[in-house]
Amino acid sequence: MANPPVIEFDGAALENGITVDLALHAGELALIDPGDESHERAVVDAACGLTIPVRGAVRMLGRDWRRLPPDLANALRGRIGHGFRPGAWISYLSVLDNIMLAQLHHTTQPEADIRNEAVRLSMAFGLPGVPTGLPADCGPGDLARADLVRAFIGSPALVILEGPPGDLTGALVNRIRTVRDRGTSVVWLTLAPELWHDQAIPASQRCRLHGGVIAAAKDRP
Amino acid sequence: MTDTPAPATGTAQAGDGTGSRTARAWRHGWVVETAAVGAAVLIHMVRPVTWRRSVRREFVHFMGIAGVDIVPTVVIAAILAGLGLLFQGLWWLEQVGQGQPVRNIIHTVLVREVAPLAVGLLSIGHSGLIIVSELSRMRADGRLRALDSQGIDPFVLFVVPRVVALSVSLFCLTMLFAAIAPAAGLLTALVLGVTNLSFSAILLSILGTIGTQGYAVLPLKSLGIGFAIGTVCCVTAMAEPSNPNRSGDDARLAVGFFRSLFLMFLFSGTISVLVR
Repeated sequence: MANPPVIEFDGAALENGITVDLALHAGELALIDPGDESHERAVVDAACGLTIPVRGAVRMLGRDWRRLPPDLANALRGRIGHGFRPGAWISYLSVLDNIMLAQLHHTTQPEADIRNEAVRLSMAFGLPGVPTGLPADCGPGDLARADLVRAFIGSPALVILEGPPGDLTGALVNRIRTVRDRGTSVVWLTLAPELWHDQAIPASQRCRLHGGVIAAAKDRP
Repeated sequence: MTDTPAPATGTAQAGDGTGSRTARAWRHGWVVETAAVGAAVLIHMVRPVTWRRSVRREFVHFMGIAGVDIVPTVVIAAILAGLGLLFQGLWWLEQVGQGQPVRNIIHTVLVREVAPLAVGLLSIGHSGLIIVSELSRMRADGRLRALDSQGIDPFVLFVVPRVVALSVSLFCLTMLFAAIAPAAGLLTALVLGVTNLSFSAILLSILGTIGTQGYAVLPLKSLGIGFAIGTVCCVTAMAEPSNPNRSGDDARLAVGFFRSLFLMFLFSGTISVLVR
């Protein structure tokens, strides 16, 4: 029996009126232009099972979010790496603690291993090391890189990137290639048309909002 | 000081009896919310799966804020309360010659009533308002949504460890207060020669006065007050404001302070009446 898609929007009509049709299998990358930030948030919330579609269904690894009990849903969300548009840092925790938080919560992996992986990823994204200061003490560029570290740390089944900065595209594409080889799927949301059309991004699917529906674009590059 | 929506005009308030009654009915909805969240905290705190590494860290972090940070303030407050209440009491008793019975009353009131309330007040002003401020800001900035999308329930990560930490620290601080306040009062009285009893005699008198039930009341009150303050502050910070005009940070702090104070006196009074 074939493996179910990692994330599947089965004609999912979201609360803000848009419908999403998308099935992303292991190792695939979907580049999505949702039109604006509110649509982006609606798609991400539905993908994580935080909102339930009015019609249709959203499934992760074949499991319908609607039917999952809260504990199991949280465990499944723990398999999603997440890069946030505004950063979403807990202000009193160091950037390193913020990065490690989800891994400490969901796994029993030794803390030293998590820290070492954070250091490796930080260097891959162009940081001299993992930032140990508070988020307020870090520059926006460093925080954007640390946000990507947080998204890719661990072994997520799915990585959702909410508008990563354009100047990190090179490092990001390299990292995406690596994780795709391991079977991780990536949903990359962008509001920049030039990025959506960028041939250098090896997207399996390019989707955008058209007529209230987010689906694979017919004019894909 | 409550969430009751302010009337748009004076005439609307006078004329709209039904609306006014509806607003009053909603005004105390937070009590039900607090009770429900408190019950949920009780259920979650006994589940081993709740206490993951991230939650244990948050517990330790908040014990530092609610417990360790506030120790010097509690010590000073205890010394001042001991001087004010016990020393003054002893001095006046020596003047009017009403020794033992009134002294017992003062001891009982100081240890069983004043200690939990004084520490509770300090905890509201320090830890309670920190909870309201931090959680409401996180909620407004969308950080709680971010945690949710990572599969980390903000209730488990923030509410449970903070409520438990506040309960435990309030208990410890109350014990500290109850130990320091009488000692400070007695020592001052002995040094200034306003009592002719020996230190050991007075200490035994205090311990005897508190009684068996007194030792039950102190933990019950302090743990309960800490639990109530923590829960109501979390509810105030994380729930949707019932009045959009009072949803700012300052308003939330004021509402959280008022609610905590109210619950603290309610809880303390109820325990005092039930366990005499």
